[in-house]
Amino acid sequence: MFFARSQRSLIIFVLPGCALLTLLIAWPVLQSSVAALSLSSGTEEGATQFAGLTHFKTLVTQSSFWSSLSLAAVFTLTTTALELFIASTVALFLYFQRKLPRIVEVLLILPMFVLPVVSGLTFRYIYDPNDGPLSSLFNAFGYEPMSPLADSFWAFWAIVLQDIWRMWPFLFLIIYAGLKALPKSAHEAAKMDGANTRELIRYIIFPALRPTLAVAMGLKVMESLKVFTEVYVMTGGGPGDSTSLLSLFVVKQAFHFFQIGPASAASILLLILGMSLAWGITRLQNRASLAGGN
Amino acid sequence: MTTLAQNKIPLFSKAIIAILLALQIAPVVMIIQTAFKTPRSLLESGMFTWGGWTASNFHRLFVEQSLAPDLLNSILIACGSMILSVACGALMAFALTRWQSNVKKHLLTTLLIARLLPPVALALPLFLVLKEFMLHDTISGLVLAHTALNFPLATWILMPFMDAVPRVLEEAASLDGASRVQTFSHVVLPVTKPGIVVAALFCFLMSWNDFLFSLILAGSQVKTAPLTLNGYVTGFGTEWGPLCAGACILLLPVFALSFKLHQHMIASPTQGGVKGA
Repeated sequence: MFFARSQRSLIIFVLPGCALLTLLIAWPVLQSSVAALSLSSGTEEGATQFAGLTHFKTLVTQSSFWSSLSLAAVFTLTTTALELFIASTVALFLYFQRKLPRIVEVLLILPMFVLPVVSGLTFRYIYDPNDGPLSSLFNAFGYEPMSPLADSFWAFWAIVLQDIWRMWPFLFLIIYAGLKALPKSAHEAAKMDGANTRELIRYIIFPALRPTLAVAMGLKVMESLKVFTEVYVMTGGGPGDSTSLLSLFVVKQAFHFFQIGPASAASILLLILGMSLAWGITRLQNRASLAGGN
Repeated sequence: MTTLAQNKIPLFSKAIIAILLALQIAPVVMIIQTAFKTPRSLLESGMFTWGGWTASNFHRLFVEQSLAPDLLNSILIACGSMILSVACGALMAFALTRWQSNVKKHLLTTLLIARLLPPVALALPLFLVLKEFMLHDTISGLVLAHTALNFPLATWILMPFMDAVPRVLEEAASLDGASRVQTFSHVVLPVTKPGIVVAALFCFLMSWNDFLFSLILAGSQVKTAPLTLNGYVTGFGTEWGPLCAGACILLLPVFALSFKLHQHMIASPTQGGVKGA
């Protein structure tokens, strides 16, 4: 017997969920693995032929694949580093203040709730060369209005700025909660011993907060991998390929160029990347909860 | 005396908090302001001039652009996937908190990974499968796709609530002759109502916020409001007035719920972003 008798009736409770997981996640992934490994385009009827790693080969010989991969990496690194810095600075700053009214906290993290499509469009409006606020600001100071989203250098940073605005509150919430959960007694003991605030942060708070910071970082890296809508709405991956992150590359390959095989291969790669990251985060979380981070 | 002084937030800190707040809410304020500007005052440019209030942008949105059907699609899809996600999630969470088996651990890991996966990687596989079942570009197809993505989240939110239900209650019910299913529906569900509300709100928002799946799995017959909104952007100058009005409508439920959900967002490291109870 697989389950004890009293446990057996629980199987019907997990059936709907398992059906969803199988039909809508596992099976589609299997299907697209087949598409990635076979020669027929996947959408057409007919005999499929085993193609081995042909599609993966097409993928790695494309320079746009490598540029999208490295763009995604740079995007992830810059946004994670900057947002982690901002979030922990603000969290520490607020931690040493008296308790703020709840409305201030809610307003501070408000951008987090903004729909990705609205966030993208908002920043597109801000950067709009004709009637955007940025150009009227430039006009007001007597400068020629510029169009950051049409410039292959600035477009990337325009996207980074958008991501910072929306996502640092997410990291802030995690870090702030971690800070508030720290035992106060260690802080008081350190103060008693004559530590100033800087020493308190450096030697007491930071070491205790490290597991929380690691989890926050892991989740943010995961979120950066998910970023699609904001960039699609703001630049569509352009100008050229200058903001075409890995996620945009996959969608472009599949639905603009109808390269189902290579796109499936890229999807699978993205999936493997995502799964290994997710697995890493679960490990980190286990360690954080063992260390009493919660 | 010192305690009295500490009770006040110093001016310097107040200034920093004010600047932070301004940076965070300025874009949102700008959207609302543009939504209510007359098109002419929009042309005269700027954030500094103010031509007066008008509702004409909203009027145009519904009369000329007909946003209403797409808005209705969005609401239908969000509600449908919310109900399905919470139903599957509640059952799953109940079983997982009562189960003592190895399968439980594997299921938990699977759910967590499913929750963290990048949706882009799932979009193309889902497209291929939905096409096979003739479900692409339909409301039910989108409902299913959103449910697949959101029910792991619902399960995750509900697990602490389910865990908190005293086992004594269930034992009492089963002594009275109730089956597992009856115990669940008559004893466990009423007790976990607050958790179910939170899970439902989160699932609604996740579906309401979605753009990617609507873009890829639908888009010609069935459009959702976020997709339509993006459609207002054209290469030859965008009419930002109606667009911002539409953005305001999309933001309305989100902000209304954010006050309710804020206390549940107090993230704990172990639950990664969402904490129940």
